[in-house]
Amino acid sequence: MRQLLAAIAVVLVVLASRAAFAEGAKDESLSAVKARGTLRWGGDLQGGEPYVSQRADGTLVGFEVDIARAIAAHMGVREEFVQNDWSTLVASLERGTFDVILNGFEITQERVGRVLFSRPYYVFAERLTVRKGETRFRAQLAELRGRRVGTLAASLAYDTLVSAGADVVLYEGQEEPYADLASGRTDAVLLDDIIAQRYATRHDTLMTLGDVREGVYAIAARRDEGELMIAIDSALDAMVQSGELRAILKRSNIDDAREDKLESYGHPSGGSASIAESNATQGEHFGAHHVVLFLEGAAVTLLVSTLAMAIAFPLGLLLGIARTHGPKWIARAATTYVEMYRGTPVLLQLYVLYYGLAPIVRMSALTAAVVGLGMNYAAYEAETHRGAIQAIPLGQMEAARALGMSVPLALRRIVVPQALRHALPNVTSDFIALLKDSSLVSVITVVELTKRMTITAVDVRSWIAPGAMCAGLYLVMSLPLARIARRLERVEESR
Amino acid sequence: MIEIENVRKRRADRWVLDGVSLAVEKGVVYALLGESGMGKSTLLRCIAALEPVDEGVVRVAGDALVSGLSIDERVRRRVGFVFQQHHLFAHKTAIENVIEAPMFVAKISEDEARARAEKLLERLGVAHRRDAYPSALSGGESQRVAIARAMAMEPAALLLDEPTSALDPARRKDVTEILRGLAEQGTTIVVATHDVPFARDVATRSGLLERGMLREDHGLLT
Repeated sequence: MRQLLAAIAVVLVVLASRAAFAEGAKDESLSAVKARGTLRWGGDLQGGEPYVSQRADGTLVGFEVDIARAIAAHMGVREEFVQNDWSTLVASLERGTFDVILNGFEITQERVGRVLFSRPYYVFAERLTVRKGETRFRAQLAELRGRRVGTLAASLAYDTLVSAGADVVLYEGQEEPYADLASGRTDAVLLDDIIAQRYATRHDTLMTLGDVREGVYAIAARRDEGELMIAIDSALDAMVQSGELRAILKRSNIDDAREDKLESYGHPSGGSASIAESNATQGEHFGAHHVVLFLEGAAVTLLVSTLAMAIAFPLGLLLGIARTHGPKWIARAATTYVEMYRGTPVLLQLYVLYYGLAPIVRMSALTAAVVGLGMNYAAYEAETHRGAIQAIPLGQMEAARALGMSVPLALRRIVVPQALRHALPNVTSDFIALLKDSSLVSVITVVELTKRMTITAVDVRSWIAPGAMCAGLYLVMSLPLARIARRLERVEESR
Repeated sequence: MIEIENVRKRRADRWVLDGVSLAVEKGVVYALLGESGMGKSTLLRCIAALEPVDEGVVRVAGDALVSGLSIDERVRRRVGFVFQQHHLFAHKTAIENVIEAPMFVAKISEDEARARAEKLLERLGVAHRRDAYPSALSGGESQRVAIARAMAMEPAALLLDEPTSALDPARRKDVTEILRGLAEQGTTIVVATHDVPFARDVATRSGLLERGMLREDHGLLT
């Protein structure tokens, strides 16, 4: 624990000195871009149409590609797309992975303090989509309190829903919220109108209930790179004046009456600061209520891991026995199971279980998480048990058989009890691994400890306190287990 | 009693047992002699139905235990087997080893099984070691617990594979007495051994296994 704190302290000092250095440094952002000849812009292809997506031949399309191209042309450089997970765009911008963020990035109060924004290039509405025939509530924020509403993490819609008191369900991609709404797992989806237009319309059972608020997308640069932002803004100014921007929007079929406002919105330092204010929830600090949320996340992690192990352990034991003592066809089936589950990513298995099988079995996210992880870990437990069973001398089975025991009885009374003692230290280690792997279930909307950390990091604009809290809680859960595993190993060795 | 009729068993390309017939009556200690690798253990394992045979029949107390490739599991428990390495259940104490099969195979009550086990351990002189785990037992103690474990099922026949291989001379004499005592009470005993002096002391009858055949006119014990 002391070492961990020391490591965190070192990280803090490094960060602080970097910040101090940056304050004093001269802004060479624009000359750097010009010298390189490329403007690197970050975005996430998973966002898909109409923002930026990839064609089969590898070329990028989308209105943001066109905007990036036009701005780069105005600056006399080429544009270069950099793929980055959407939820970590700001962190990657700050560490210099690219020059600007250009990817449906909304102007919000907390972001205004952290990055520099250009003037807006698109005005969108937060659109509420529901199943046809929905009558329980209307498209008003106050009526969303307590409703299960799907959206994307770290989005303006997310902030909106949280402050409205909705039960928010978080997704990683645009398809899944609407699929889950159609299959009845949520009450509504709140997302930007251009997302709803593309994805909600694929389900005939869904309809638009209405728009609850407006927001704007803008380009973001590092806080100390004003020179670059001035150049980008003047390019955007020119594009707005000449009608080039509207032409781009029209080409992607997303131009509407709202875009008339683009002309009146100025630079955020002037007019659009008020946009930020009207858009944003209060900026947050890491505080007591976050600790409570983290503890909840840890509880979910522990619950999912424990229940998954409760499936994996007995199922793995059965598979291990089937492989060592089953009739040939059962042994082969067990081997197939093990190879299949070990040979494919658990992430894929979770997707298939939760989204792929939704039309057949509609599991809750938590159930799917437990079943998915449990069945995956059963494959690993099977190998642990198989090894342990094979480590028991054959004479034990033979002696049992010679006394008239059947094979199942001999397994139950003689072989398996001895094998379990061999297996236990490994099973405990596997449980520690499972505790950490359980973070994968966030892809199917379960908010456990790691997901809580990434959400909070965005909320409070820092990875340090949430990261330390997250690591600390994992250690608190896994260190006692590691100790138990070591003790079991010692017992095993002394036998 | 044990009856073996024309048993043949092939290992790889050779007949290890090539038409072995033998009848051992109640109360007899039969010594199965022969060099290592001559098939003593194999014959013993076939009699205990731990391995199928290619041809022939093994009968125990009148019922067929082994008939070619088929094995009658219900008859198996009439044969007790003491392995050369004893193979005591490592996770159970001496007495737990002895009561296991009576409780879970013969399905008698735990009290009855314990009473029977106490008596056997007493008779074999290892009652004081009843709560020891196999890893704590000496070779001689472990062998007696293994004999008790086999006898607890009240078998018609008791088979022992090389029972003197790990014993000093004093312990060897003990085993001789134990086996003679069991035979006197009506158990049919077959011992596979290459220890001729031991066989001379313990056996009522004997046979020499050579090239897959069993000969009783070997004259080794005279």
